Amino acid sequence: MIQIDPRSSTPIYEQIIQQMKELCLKGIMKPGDKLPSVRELATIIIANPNTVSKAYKELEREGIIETLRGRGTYISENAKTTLVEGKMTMIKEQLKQLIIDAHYAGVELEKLHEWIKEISADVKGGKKND
Amino acid sequence: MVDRGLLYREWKQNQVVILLSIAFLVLANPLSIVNTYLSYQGCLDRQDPQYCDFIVNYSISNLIDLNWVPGVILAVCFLGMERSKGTMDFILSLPYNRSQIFQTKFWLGGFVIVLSQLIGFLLAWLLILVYSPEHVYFFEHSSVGVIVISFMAYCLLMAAGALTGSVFAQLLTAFAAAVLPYLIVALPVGNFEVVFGVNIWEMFPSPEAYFSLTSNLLYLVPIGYVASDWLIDSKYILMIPAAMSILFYLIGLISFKKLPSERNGHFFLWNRLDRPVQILVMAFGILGFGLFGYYTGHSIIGYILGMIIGAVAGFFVSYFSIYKKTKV
Amino acid sequence: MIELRQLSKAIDGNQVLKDVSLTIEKGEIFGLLGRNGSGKTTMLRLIQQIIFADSGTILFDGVEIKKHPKVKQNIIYMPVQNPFYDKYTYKQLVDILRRIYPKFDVTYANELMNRYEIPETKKYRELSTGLKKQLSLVLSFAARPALILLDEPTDGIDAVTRHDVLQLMVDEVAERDTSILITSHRLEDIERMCNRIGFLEDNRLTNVMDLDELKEEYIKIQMAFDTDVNLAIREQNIPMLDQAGVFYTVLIPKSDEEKKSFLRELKPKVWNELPVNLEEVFIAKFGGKRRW
Repeated sequence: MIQIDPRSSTPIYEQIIQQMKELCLKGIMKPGDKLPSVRELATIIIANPNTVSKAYKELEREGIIETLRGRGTYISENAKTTLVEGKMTMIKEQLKQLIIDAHYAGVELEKLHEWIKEISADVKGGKKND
Repeated sequence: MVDRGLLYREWKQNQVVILLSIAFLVLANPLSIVNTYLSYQGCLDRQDPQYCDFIVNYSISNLIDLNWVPGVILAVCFLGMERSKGTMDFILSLPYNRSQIFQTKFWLGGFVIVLSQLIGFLLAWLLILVYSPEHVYFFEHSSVGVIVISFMAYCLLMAAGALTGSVFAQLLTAFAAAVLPYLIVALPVGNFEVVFGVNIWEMFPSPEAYFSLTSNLLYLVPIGYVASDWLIDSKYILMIPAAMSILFYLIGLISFKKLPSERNGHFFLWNRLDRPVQILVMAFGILGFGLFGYYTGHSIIGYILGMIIGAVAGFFVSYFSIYKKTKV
Repeated sequence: MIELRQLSKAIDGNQVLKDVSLTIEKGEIFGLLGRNGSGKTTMLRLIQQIIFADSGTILFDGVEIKKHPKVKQNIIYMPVQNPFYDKYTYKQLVDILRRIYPKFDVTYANELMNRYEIPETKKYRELSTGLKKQLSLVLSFAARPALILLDEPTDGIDAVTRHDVLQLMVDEVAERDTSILITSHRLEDIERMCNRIGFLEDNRLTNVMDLDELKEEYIKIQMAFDTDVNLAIREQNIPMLDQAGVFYTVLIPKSDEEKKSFLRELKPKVWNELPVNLEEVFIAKFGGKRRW
């Protein structure tokens, strides 16, 4: 489910947060799904329970998960929307950077549109074969 | 004072030695009686009864003269071996203070030694009652005496164990302390005799006075008690080993409490002892070998040669024993 | 929960520790790092009162351990080797330990032995290194301590055993808020397990900080120069992680503007700022003066 890499330069709690978000986005974890407790997750991935706790707190702060007293921690209903929104902002930023780079490299706007059509077609086609 | 958990650990760690010690110390006395009885029976079988007598005489050499040995072995197991094997660290990490640790070990051994011999004494006394020998000499004096002496030996070894970092060091230090009073007097006096060409006994009003003084002084030498000269003397002599026991116990307790244990594997735990002891060993080497050289060579040349050999030997012995670190 | 105040210790003329101070809280896993022989084990032995400090005090819940050794019922020390255990089996050790530690939980110990399939009737010395460590750990945790001192618990054992050992540690902390002070050369395990770390450098305890902070505190810079600036960089005491041809990799505190401007002034052709991991910080600290 979640794999952490202690050697990575990304702090472990961030890795947990990122991977949790990925799982939500990909639909592997759906709103209403129960998360393992801090202790359970810490034991599974072998990480400091405080670190897991920190990750959970941050996810809760961002509205991705919610804790119901005495019942456990669950993916919140609007998790996906929140994430998708966040992802959209990120993609727009990346697009902005791409367009700037393209401009300086001398790539024309029409060329970019062509490429978007080409690559989309590939992706859609690829998706059909999934 | 003595915690049950700690006592149990000591017991478990030294179970075999403790049981063997108890066995020996309980049986030594009664077996001596039985042995005498069987010799008498054997005599009766072979010879005319008028030539056989059943006399229990504890002034001749006896199994209980060895009663000091288990105490030595116990003390080595309690201290020297734990240090040499590296198990002392575990004990020190337990929730007890050092005083408790030493006391637990000490009294466990102490009780084993004293109680076992008392039981043996009782059994032997019962056997005497049953067998009814014609004469009994020195039985009580000897039986009680060996208890005191074995306790002293045990205390000495425990003190040595508290000062040293290995089994070898413990045994050597105890032995050295046991003969020390003798060496401190005899060696300088002997050398004095050689250098000034006199005989000490001549300086006394009479040979008896000289011998009387020397035999009394010998009672201050711990190792002397291994032989049974004390037995035919006054029973108050036993107060000397009793006092020595207390002294050694206190030295052991204080040393164990204060001395660092990171020097396990070293000869002495107290590094301030290293240099003075080395000097002492060399001094004894010089004086001892000097005397030896003089009396074998019958000349001053032999004396000086002996002293040189003694100095060198003393230096190397003390260097390798004390200063070389052994791997724990 | 445990507080070290100004601990100093010299052994055989060597000043092993000087003015070391540290506080560890409940439920914390603290990693003590340093090169071989830097005094890590000495520090653990001082806490456990196997040896005494030359100066300074050690307090457990405000109580001075030296004066009240009974509080050690709450502290267990697991050394690299335990010769005392050698001749005993698991059952015998439980027998001995439960009389010394009143909170010893035999049921829990048995449960763990079962879970990890550790043989109960073999003598300790007959077990493999990995099983020895596991058994020691089981006994240590079964005594229900508030603080556990682990000296290289996962060094030298196979991946499966290591996984079990680490899992047990995590479980203990999560469940019972046990504090753990761990020394290890396995930086990967330290990075996983520890909240905070500290370095024993020369004889002092330095850079005590949260692991996450550490990754934010330092930065790795990859540069390329067309001249040989090796000496110049070294003279500024800038730890060099690597030098391959024209590429230089250094590690400096993020906030060190002085060093940064010095490097920029050397006019690098390439300048990449990258985040760090613990191993790189360790090497920069202790091997930065190495000649490549």
